[in-house]
Amino acid sequence: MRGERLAPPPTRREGDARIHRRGGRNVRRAIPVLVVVLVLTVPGIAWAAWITNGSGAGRAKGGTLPTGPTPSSTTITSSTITLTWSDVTVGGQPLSTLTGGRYVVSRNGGASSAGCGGAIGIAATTCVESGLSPATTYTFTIAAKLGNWVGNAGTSISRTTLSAPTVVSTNPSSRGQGAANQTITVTGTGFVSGATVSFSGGGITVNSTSFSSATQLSTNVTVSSGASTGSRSVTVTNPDGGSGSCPGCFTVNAGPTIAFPTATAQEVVTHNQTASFTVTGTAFQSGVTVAISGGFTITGVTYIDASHINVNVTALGGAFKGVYDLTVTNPDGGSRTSTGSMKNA
Amino acid sequence: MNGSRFRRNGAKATAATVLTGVLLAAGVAFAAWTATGTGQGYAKAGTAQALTTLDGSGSITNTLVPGGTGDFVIKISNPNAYPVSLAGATLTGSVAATGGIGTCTTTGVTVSQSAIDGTLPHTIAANGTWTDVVSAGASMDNTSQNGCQGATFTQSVTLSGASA
Repeated sequence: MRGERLAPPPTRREGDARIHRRGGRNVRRAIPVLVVVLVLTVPGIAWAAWITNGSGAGRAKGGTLPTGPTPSSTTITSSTITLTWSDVTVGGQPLSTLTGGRYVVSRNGGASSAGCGGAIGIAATTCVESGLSPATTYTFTIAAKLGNWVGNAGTSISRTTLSAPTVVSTNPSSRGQGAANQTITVTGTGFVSGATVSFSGGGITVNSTSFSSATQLSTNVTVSSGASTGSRSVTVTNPDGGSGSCPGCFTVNAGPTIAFPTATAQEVVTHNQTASFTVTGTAFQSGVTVAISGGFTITGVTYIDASHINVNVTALGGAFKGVYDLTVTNPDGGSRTSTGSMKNA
Repeated sequence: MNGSRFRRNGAKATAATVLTGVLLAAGVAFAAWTATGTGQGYAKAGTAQALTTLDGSGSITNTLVPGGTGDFVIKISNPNAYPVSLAGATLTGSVAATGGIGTCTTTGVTVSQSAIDGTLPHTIAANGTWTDVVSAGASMDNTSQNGCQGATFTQSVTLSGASA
C-alpha cells in the first residue's frame, strides 16, 4: 500500500489502461448505448411535432355602391325630358354591364315613368321620362342599383318642360263644303317646326302644313262636299306630342247645290249662239263664280240670291258640239259641279 | 494518482453530460408527444396553446358587391413559443353579417374552401401572427340584401397545424 502510494504515477497509456481495466470499462460500455439512444431520440424530436390546432373566424367585407351619377338633359319637350348620365363603375366594371346592374331614376322623389325604369330601374345610361305636364319643373336623381343593393342618389337636376302649343284663331275661319286646296293660317303660341294641324269632326283633309313661326302655321285643306257643317275644333300638335286646341275656331259652311242645269235637265245652247239662263240651287253666296268645263264662254254672272244665279254664255263655234260640266263656287270655297249639264248643240 | 482520478472523474462527467443530454433530448421528445395528446408526457415542457384568430378585416382591400368576389382574410395568432406550420383552415358553419346599413339576414356570401387551401401550408412564427389574405376567397350573389352594404361577414374556421 505504501509502495503503491510511492510508485510513480502511471503513464498516460497506463492510465488509459487503468481506466479501461477499471471503472472506465463501464463508461465505455455506456457510451454506445447512449449513442444509440441519442440516434433514436434525436430523430424522434424532429419527427414528433407538437400538434397545434385552433379555431376562429375569417372575415370578408361588403362594399357599398357608388353614389349615383348626375343626370343631364338632352331634349326637353312639353311632355318629355330625355335624361343621360355617365356609367358608374363597380369593381372596375360599368354598372350597366353587370348582371343586375341598373339605375333607379327618381322623379320628384318618387318613381320615374316606365321609360326610365320606374321603381325597378333601367340598365342603360339614357332614358326618356314621359307623361309630363307642360311648363312644369321636375327634379330628377339617379341611384345605382346592383341586385338588391341600391346606392345613394347623386346630385339632382331640375328641368322645366316646354309649354304646350295654343291655338287662338284661324284665317279664314270657315270654308264651305266642297272647298278644295284651301290655305288656312293658324295663329297661336308654342308652335315648333314639324307641328301638325287637325280638325275635329271629319270631312276635312289636311293636305299639308308648313311652319311659319312659333305663332303661325299655314295649312292646306280640302273640305269634302259631304263634310258636316258647323263649328270644328282646330288642334296643333308639336313633334314632341304637346298639343293645343281651339274649340270652334273653324266652321264648315254649307256648300252650294245645283238644281238646274243638270245632266237630265241640260241648258242647251246652239253653236255660235248666246244665251242667258238661271242656275238654281241653294247656298249660293254673293260673289259666287260659275265655270264651264269647255265649249262655252261665260260673259256674265250675276248673283241674285242664295238660290239663283244669272249666267250669260256663248256656245263657241270652234268648240266641239257636246256636253260640258257647270261648276258653282262660293267665295268660301264651297263648290258644286253639275256634270253634263251644259250642251253646245 | 490525482491525475488518474481526475481522468476518471472527467470520464464520468462526460458520461453524465451525455446522459443528461439524452435525458433532456428524450424529455423534449416525450414532451412533444404530450402536446399531441398521447398521454405519456411527464416533463414540464408546457402545453401547446391553441391557435386563435384576430379581426383581420382591416387588411381587406377588395370588398364584396353582388355578383362579385372579394378578399377573405384569416388573421391567425400563434401564442406558442415555437413556430407553427398551419396546414389547414376548414370552414365551419355559415356566414354571418354584422355592421351593415340595415337588415342583412340573407348575405348571399359564399367562402371558397379551395381558395383558402391554396394559401396553405404556411409557417407562423413563434408568438407571431399571420394574416392570410385569400384573394377572391369570398363571393356574393345577387340575393344579398340591401342592408348588407358595408357589412362584415364572418365565417368560422377550424385551424390545424403543428410545430414547425
